[in-house]
Amino acid sequence: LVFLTTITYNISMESTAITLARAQFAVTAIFHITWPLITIGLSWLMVLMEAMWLKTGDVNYYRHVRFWSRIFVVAFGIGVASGIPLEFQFGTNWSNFASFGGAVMGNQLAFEAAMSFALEAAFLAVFIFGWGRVGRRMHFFANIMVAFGATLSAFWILSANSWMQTPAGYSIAGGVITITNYQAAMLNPDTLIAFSHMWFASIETTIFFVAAICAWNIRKGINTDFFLKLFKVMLVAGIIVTPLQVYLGDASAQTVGKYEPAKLAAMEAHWTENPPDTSASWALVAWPDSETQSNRWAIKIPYVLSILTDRSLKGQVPGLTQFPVEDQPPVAIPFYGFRIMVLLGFTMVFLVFWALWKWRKKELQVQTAPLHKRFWHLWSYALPLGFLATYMGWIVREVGRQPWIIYGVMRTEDAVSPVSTSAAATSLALFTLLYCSFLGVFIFFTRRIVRQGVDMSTAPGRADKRNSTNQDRK
Amino acid sequence: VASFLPYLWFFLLSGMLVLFVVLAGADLGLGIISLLVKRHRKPEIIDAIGPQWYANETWLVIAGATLFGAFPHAFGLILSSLYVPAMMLIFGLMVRAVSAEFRHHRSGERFWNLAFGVGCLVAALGQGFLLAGLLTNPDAVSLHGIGTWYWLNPISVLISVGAAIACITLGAARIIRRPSSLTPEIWRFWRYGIALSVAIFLILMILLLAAPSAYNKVWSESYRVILVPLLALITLFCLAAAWFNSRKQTPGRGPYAWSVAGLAIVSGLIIAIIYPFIIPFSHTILDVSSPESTQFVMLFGVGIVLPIIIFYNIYVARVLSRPERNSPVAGGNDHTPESTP
Repeated sequence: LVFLTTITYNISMESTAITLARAQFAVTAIFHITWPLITIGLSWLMVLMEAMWLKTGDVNYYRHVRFWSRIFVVAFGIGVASGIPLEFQFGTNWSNFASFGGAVMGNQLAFEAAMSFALEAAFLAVFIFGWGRVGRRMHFFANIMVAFGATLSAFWILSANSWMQTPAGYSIAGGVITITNYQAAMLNPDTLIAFSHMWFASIETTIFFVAAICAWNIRKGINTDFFLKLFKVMLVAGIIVTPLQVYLGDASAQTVGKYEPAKLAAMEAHWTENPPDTSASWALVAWPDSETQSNRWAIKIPYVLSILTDRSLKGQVPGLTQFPVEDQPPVAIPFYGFRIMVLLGFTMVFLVFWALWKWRKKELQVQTAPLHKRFWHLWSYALPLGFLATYMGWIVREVGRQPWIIYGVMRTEDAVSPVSTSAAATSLALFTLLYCSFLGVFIFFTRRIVRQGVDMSTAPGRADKRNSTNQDRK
Repeated sequence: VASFLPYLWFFLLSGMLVLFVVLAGADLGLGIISLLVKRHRKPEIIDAIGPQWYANETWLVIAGATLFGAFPHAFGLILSSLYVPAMMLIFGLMVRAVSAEFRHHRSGERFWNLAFGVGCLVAALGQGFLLAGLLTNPDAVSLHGIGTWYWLNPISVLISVGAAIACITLGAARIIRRPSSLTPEIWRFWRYGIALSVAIFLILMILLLAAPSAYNKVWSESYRVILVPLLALITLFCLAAAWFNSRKQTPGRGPYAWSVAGLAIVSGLIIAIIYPFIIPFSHTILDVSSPESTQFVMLFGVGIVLPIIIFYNIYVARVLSRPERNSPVAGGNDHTPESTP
């Protein structure tokens, strides 16, 4: 919320209509992303658990599916409810953008709705209500369809958003965007890296979400064995995912540097290009000032920015002053948002390797584990890390693209709808109120599900044990 | 092909909207009914909506995105100038979805049931006002800049209330297909619903006949002079058939099927009135179409997917209508996570 306020404060220089429309999209998008982050991850966790159950017959895997699906269902329901306004807001609050860029944006959103969202919604019903009604294989298939639908959904959305960052494969005819090369537009320079960075963000966030809940249970000594096993699975996944995500973040920044140099300069508060044969230094903290087009002060580390951007000691990095002032994004928000995200990313890497070390020292065994209270305490507080890092990443991505809505093609101020200020302010207030209560209710019910714990008496019903749907019908 | 595509998309889009109104409309209608019954009856009515309300709602998401992709200018123009009704629909659906989620978690069940019903009512009225806003402003050259509240007038209220009552009727018809403990209660809503639907429909038709100047365009085309009254008569026939079928000893699917047919014909009637306009009578289908390349590619990305969606939704509906054979030893379904002692 602090960040939302700063964003609102920052953009309040613009006209009220744009401020309201931007604030509303920021509020709805930031709250919304909370839930897809864990539904994408949990859906694959449940696929894994159900697959293990079908393979080994170990009923504990079944109990995991049933336990996590309860949280999944809550998150999914709010995720969908909070997502519907995003689609319609393009029309209600960004109608000029909708008219101008509908050929790309509408196209991708329609693909998303038809190919993935409908699939997910239909098979979710089988997944939730199908226990005892369909055979095991069919249930597993429904589970896979839910996970596949959620992931495909993320792909189309990221493809649309990436096109706003690095538009490609289009021409402007009759005052609107026309796609001339579909492959270039859908797989624009940013699509694959943005999608993988986001997809792994959901996996990483879910790893920490699940591991934190496991840690809480282990600390309390509730079903230690059951949760310790899952915690270790999360660790193994974390060894791969957390460093990979750092690498993908770096690759993502490379794309930004290549295609949106002004955004990169803002992320690094880098005002003037370093002359040839000198190095660009990396600001750890800074006080950027748009008035003077420089940092009032900064703590800098030499060489690092050249190395990060150009992979050389003396690579030149374009500075913000190379862009006209009216084309410069705000600096402070991308700068600090980026730093917080990076810090959180490395914190998660550290946590995983710390736990790994403990594991090697045999401190993660059923008898010894609950003794290390502080370790589990810290891990249970790691629950929001992934969420926070993702929020920061999206703030950097979207604020850094300003003043453009489609980079280099359409300005944000030209995109907004001629909606009356009072109507827009009212809807913004209602959205904020409703989304805050969604978050509150989500936390309340998730806590309760966790506190109620796993029902260790749960066992698959007889119908679940059969393999074929057809047998079931007879 | 170029001139054919926009019309194809117009009819596909209409089809999606009819599907949304038929499937989700009945869900919304039952939600509204839950507001009107005694407290202890509410949970039963909401339970009767069934697990597929959620898949039904996806048709709105698909239709919205299709409108965005195939007719981007109309998408922007309609939603931004009908901002308040659009927000009513969005907020209504959001509140409904979240309430449906939490009403099974023991605490505050009464609150969530109420929120569910209110969400349904607001969403149903919102969709009615969206339609009414389009139909009652035929003089404007553009919808932009004619005020936040222009859509609110006596006729639009009548259309919106009519839409809500149509939802109630449809929802009631879906319930009386099978005799259950709810039948006597629902029967009342069915009876009033269908009577009011007919009455509002007749009033609107008379208003159209005595239409203000802009609607003269409707009667200036000779084919409409025949088509519009004909469709109106067929609609009345469907509603009458639905009514007489419901009076049989075992009504079965009859009332529901005829109500759905009536609703589909009404949609056809609306299309007959506004065609070839999407925003009557200022923006034609061609005026607001997206470039040919997009409409062509969407044919593959969305068009051919539609039958597949319908196919698996029918499958899912069949699966869920099966009785639960053997529920797990404990825990029940996820939908009722706390139902076990």
